[in-house]
Amino acid sequence: MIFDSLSWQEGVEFKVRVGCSVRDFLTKHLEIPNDFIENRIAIIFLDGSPVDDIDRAIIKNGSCIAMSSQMPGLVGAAMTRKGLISPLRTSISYDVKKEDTKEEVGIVKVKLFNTLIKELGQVLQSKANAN
Amino acid sequence: MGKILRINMGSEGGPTIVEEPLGNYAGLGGRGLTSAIVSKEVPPQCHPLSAENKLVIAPGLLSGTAGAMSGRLSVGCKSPLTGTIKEANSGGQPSQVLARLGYAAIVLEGKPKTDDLYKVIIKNDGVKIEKDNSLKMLPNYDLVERMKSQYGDKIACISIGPAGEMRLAAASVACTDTELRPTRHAGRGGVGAVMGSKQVKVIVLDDTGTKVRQPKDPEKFKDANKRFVEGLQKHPVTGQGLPAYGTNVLTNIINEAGAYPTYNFKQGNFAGASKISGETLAELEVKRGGVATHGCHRGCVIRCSGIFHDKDGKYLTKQPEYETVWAHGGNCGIDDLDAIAMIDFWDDNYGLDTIEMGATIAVAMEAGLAKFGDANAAIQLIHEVGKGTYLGKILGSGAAVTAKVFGIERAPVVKGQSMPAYDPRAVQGIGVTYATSTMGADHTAGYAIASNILKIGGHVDPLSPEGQIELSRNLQIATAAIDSTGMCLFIAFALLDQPETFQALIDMLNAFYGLNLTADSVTELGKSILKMEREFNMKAGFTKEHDRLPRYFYTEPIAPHNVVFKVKDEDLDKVFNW
Repeated sequence: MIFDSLSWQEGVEFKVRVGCSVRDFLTKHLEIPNDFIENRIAIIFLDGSPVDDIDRAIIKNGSCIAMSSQMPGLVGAAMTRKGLISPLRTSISYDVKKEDTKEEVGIVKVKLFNTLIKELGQVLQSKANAN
Repeated sequence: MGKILRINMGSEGGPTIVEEPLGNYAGLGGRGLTSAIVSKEVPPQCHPLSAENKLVIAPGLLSGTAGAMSGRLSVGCKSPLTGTIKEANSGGQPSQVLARLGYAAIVLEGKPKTDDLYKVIIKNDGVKIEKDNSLKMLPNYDLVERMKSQYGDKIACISIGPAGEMRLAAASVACTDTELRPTRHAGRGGVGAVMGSKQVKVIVLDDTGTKVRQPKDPEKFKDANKRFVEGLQKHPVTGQGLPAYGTNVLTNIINEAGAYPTYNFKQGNFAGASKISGETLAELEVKRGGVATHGCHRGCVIRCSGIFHDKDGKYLTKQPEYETVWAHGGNCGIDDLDAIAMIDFWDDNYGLDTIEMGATIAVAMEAGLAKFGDANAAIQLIHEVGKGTYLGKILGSGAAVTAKVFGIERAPVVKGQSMPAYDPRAVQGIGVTYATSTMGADHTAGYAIASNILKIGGHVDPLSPEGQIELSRNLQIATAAIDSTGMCLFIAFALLDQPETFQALIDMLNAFYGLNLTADSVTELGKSILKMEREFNMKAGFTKEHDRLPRYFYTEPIAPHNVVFKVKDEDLDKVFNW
């Protein structure tokens, strides 16, 4: 199956082991290099909340993770992970709680936006199809 | 650019033209100059459509130079929409051309005693003003074609459509782009209605025979400009995201955050967002032979605009901005890019602010005039405005008036002006700016972001209420300063992350004018502009009680985060304490 731009914007499902941190999900399951995460993925949403600490945010069965490069606009810039003006959106920021970190096989929806569609879409395509 | 052109439309025997030196206004440009002239010369309690109001059109300090990104034009007056001072800002060609013609500002004063309509022609060899009633009620595209046939294709135009002539509070002032199309608009606050009240239909600018403005120190200016451009091109936002997808790249992000006002600010997610996103828009433009990367004025290196073709591959409109796609899209429940582009064309043609009209149509939909998601009905409502029917005149007066007429509580306005495309309950920091801006709800009032100016981390905890207030204050100060340079606000992202790019901008100003400005000087300039604007508003009758969001933002939680606006009034009142 080929996932086009619209598919990535709306989300592609991956069957993976969940109960891990966002960073582990990205690096271990999706095999995205850490330096790419730090330099190119400026904004990460987990279930609709912008995430600042990807080592403490936990992926669960049914989670949706959305990723973007750096964005324009005051509000776009405010979504940046640990950005200078991210305090502007504290009321919706991902709230790290003591999560149930039970590891299990589950479904995670991955959304890619803007330049990341080209940069990651093809690489992730094969992993999604391999599910 | 050392003179002001004053046109008194109310003189006995017809309009009179006077050119005068800048005098006490020397050193000001763009918003700094429009706000200085309005605050000093316009009685704050005057009626915005009266002879006492003035319309000030000013290029920025660096407009007309070889400096990149310097083509923004400021249009100032007392606003008929908000009753406050107003600066609306536009791209396009006129700012560069006006500056090269040597004008720091055009000031339209007084009011004709007859109902005649005028055009102003400004060339290198002089200024003419002519009566031309044949232009009455011409839409902007037809008007510009007429001007092109009369004055050639080397011109730039500043004009109003029928909405401005009808003095509707949502009327814009149009500026032509590099293709000589009236696609760029000083949209906010009804500045077009004030131009209409002066009965000036169009200002035709022709800079044939002029030269690029020369800096005091050409070598230093060239070097600073080079560093500035390099900084913009290497930054991921100004070098990649904006050129590839335009400002509409924000749709997916703001929607994912649950901050995308949908169905007249009822919820923060729109199910059809991906169908109208910047990514989808850019693909469609390229597929149909349009352009996804395009500058709105010469000298733009970000090129966040584009050209939208219809299904038959013919030009329909420029690439609609994020705010337009949101206002006429998600906020009205419409997920059809062709319909949104069509509405954008008619907004431009009739001369209407796309944000105000989108918000107004959503209010009208809530009132039952049309169903959410009905694109054809939305287009028909815009035509009602263009035709000047009674319903159209209500809609063309903006969201606040429309809500009042139809008995709708949920009017998303501050000081009478519609909020833009970010819900302030989800992003509380922008709510602080909406509430306290001198201009009414305005996302660009606190847009400029430069770490040098913000001094983040140096004063108070940004997570505390005081930190949010300080952040909004510093953003508003920085924005006021950048609005004076003629620079596009989109440079702000490179300035935030790259102090050397911010320094390059200051170096450009210093090299051009022979000054020794520092980051602190920029802060002082921003503060002085805000102070003038605040004083004008206070004299016009505005108090701290006007610096509030509508009550329902404090009481109605918005999904999916189910949050309300929580910033306290006493904290809002501290924004301008410096």
